[in-house]
Amino acid sequence: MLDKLKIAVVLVVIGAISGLTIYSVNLLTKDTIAQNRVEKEQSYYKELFFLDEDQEVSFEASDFDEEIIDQEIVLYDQDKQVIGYIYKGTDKNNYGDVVVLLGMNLDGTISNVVISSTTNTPTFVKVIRTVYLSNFQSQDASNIELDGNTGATYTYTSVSNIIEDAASYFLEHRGGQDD
Amino acid sequence: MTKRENFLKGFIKENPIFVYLLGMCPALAVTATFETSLGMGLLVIFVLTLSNIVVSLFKNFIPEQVRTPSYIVIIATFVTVVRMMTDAYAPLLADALGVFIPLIVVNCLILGRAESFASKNKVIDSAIDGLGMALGFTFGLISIGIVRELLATGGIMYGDYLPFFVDAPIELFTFDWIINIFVSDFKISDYGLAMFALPPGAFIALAFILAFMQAKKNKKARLEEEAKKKKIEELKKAALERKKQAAMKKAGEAS
Repeated sequence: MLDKLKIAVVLVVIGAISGLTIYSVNLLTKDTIAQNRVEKEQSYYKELFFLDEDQEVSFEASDFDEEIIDQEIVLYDQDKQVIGYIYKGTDKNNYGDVVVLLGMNLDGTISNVVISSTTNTPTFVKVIRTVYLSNFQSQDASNIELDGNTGATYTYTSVSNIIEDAASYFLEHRGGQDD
Repeated sequence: MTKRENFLKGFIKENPIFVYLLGMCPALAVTATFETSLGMGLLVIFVLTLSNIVVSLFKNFIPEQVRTPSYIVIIATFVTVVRMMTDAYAPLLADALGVFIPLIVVNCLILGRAESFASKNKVIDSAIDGLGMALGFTFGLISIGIVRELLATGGIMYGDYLPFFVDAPIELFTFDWIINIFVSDFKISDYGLAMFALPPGAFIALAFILAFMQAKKNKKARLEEEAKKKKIEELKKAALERKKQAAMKKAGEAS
């Protein structure tokens, strides 16, 4: 009995020390990690509208509790003219989360789509990134055509769910606006 | 074993990658470039050295029945720490290494050293063993990384993933300047063997390096064998000579 108690105490002590160590390092690094994630996401904004690296842009983000769409970002150029809208969406599938950013032109056509982060199988994500995302470019928000057979069904379904939701949101709230 | 021998054994004699073939998963998966190899090596140095120290410190308190799970918790703690630090201070390296950072937990080398060395030796010796073995592992990774990157691109880059000492990526080495002595406007990267940046290239590069090391080892063994035979011959000759002299002396005395 005492032996079992000793084992339990040792395991609790090791677990507690480990937990405290991880907690302390998390406290030290969490702000920097969050900042890095935001910067990484913002680096995609220019890519979504094929802007030059040195072009100055600003943006306004608004969060909301839609089922899939998490955020709408309005991107402005240096003269405060709207360049386009960015929709950030998250979808879950059997392999984890897929976070997609979609750039929408003012005329209601998709500018570009990027997968900003995902826990899906890297091989399948690579297929979608390199082959299928570019097919969404220039498609009209009111009539999005999807590829039928991608070989990466789960990831592609998540991506297309986000794109369709973003397009619906755009048509409902921004459709017909030119400014 | 002296402290010096303990430290140096991991580099060649007991190299984890080239001799024991441990940690093959990162050795094949993250060695596409010199820089990712160096990055993984640095993380393993941190985890292996510290886990060896902690295992050695607590070896007398951990009951036999829960030894392995306890070691795994200790190693997993350091891997989690290293992952958060990489995410915070080298995010590009974290992206490049991806799932292979958490997979350090199941690296046979780390649990192997905890089980076979740190749990039986003093803290200082365990720290030296961990550092030496991790440096040997890093040496192995970097060797494969250099071979693969040179064959794939014709040069070695630094600064893409590790944000230390340089502001922008730099070319550490390229064959271009040698070839440009003879041919102008030549870019070796146009003629790189791209396969070496891909998984099959990792196996082929590792096979080349292992074959090279085995050939060196065989040559050394052959030379040692020849030297041993020569020494035996000399000893036999000397013994025969002594016998001859003793016989002549005996014959002289008799006459």
